[in-house]
Amino acid sequence: MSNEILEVKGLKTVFTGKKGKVTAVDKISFSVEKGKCLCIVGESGCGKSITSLSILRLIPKTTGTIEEGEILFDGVDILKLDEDGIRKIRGNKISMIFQDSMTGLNPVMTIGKQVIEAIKVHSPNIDKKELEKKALSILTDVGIPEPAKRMKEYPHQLSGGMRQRVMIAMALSAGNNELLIADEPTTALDVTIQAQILKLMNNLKNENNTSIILITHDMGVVAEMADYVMVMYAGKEMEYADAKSLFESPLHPYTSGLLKSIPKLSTNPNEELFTISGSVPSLTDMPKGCRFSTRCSETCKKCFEKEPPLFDLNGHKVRCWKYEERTNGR
Amino acid sequence: MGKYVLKRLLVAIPTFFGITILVFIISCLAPGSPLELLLADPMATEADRAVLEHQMGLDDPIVVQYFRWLGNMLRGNLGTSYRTNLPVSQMVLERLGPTLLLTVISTVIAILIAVPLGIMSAYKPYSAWDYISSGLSFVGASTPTFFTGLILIYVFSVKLGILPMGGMYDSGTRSILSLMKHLILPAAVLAIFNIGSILRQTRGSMLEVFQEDFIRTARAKGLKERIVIIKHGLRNALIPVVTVLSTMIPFLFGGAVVAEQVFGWPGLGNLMVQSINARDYPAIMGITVVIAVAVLIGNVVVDIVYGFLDPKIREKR
Repeated sequence: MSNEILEVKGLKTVFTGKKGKVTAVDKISFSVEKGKCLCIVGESGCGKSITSLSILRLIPKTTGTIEEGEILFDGVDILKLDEDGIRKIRGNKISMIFQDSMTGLNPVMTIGKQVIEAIKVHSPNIDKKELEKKALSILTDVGIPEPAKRMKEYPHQLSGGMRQRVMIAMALSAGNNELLIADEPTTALDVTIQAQILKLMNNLKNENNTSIILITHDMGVVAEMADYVMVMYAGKEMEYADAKSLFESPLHPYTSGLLKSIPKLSTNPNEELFTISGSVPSLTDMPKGCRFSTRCSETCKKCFEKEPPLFDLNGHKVRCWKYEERTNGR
Repeated sequence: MGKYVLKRLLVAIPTFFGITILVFIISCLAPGSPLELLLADPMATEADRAVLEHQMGLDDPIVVQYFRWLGNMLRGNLGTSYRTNLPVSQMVLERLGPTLLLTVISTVIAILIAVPLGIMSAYKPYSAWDYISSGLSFVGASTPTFFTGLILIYVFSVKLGILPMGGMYDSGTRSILSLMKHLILPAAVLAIFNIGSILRQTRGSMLEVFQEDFIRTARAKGLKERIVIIKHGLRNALIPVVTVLSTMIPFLFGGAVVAEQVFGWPGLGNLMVQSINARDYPAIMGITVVIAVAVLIGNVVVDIVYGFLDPKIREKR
């Protein structure tokens, strides 16, 4: 199993607020192989971003803690590293693209300085001219027009899409990128730029053997990028499989619901779009049995009584009582 | 940036004239005429009084008086003091240096102490250190300067005898060392008073900045925590701190008036009190205008600092 760059085991991230403890990520496990892309899919608030922040230990200390679990990166538990140890991984071996490009850049520093800073942290011996050249070429790579001019500008002078590309450039500038975590990197971008960015990430994967964790709710992006898919719902993994079998035979009712909600050109425009009824339960008020039971159309009595474990069907994992017998029979 | 500075300077000019009008009107409305003080002699007749009033121009319409005063002032002539018969400009100039020295030094001390302490408080909010520093800064900010002044004099001058009680130099010397010894206590008094508000503001805005996404981005780059705090955090947090500093400038001069009295510091504040007691109108007006100009310059400096800190301000105005 040495082919796995990242192995997350039983990760539990908890936030403490005025109303008490809230478990945002509840003992999830997954792994990422070298040079492969894992997509994490799910509705807003299901814990996708918290999972990714936990990997780099970027959960704000004052409110959140990682209570349980192991995050093995190259065999080393990230959660046991000291501050200096994790710092040497951040932006170097694991880099991250954040979702909030509007607020993710420092408003009082020029774009150039922020990109150069990202390159310089982990290779302090490069001289200034070389740094600028490198920053310029990365900004060109992510499709920033007039990069030399943009480098002298401040974030507020750039459009949202351009800022997002600067964020991506900073993540791509990491020296020894072994894992790239991208939290909805293309949500703010128009389709042509989105295609460019996805291509860039694919190149990184194919040429440098970089692994990718891509967080998205865009099933089209998943289809294009994913080798493996993990579907999350209310802090738990519901289904976890390779992309092909997930798209061809989704097992969990939630996954099939998600796939059905994608509008197709062939659908009759007068027909109402499919939606999963109801909304995600509040993290403070989880249903007793299966978390999806309140919205599921295929429930049985057991679904409301006991939370299903993750059943393993030949590597296709699913958290649903429907599949209990199929695993037991084997 | 040059254009921005020029604009700030131009905006200050009408403010300056507004101040001169206000100062003049207030001093005219103040009860008690200087004539009564000058003519304290019971033998003076109504005729003497009229002659003197005419000599001093006090019988002219108020608008004429104002423009005469303004015209003279712009030529550097602030009039002659009723009390000492010396040119006001000369009196003010002598006193301006010590006051500026006191206010600037005390502000610098306050900033150098309050900003790092505020950062430390924000980095570990609700820790023991946070409570101690907040508590002490509240005590400092809510104790009147004359009281802190008296306590410091009692401890350091009377009991320990290591620092002088007041004045600016030891008699017969004008050495820098002697000046510094005399400066410590009054500067400390003013600094103690101001540390509180700067510290609270630094703490508050640092706490806010720590929540920002770009701090997370900076951490994700693998930057050292110190660099994240200073380079990415502090620079953004300083903008509201500078705002607090700018509102403090007028109060600095006010605080200096009290501190100068307590420590016998030969500054503008001291002269102001003497002049007010003597209803020395030319002196009062001269001092007020000079302080107002100092505040105006202070505000322009603050605006320029803003421009340095915040690129958005630099280009919008």
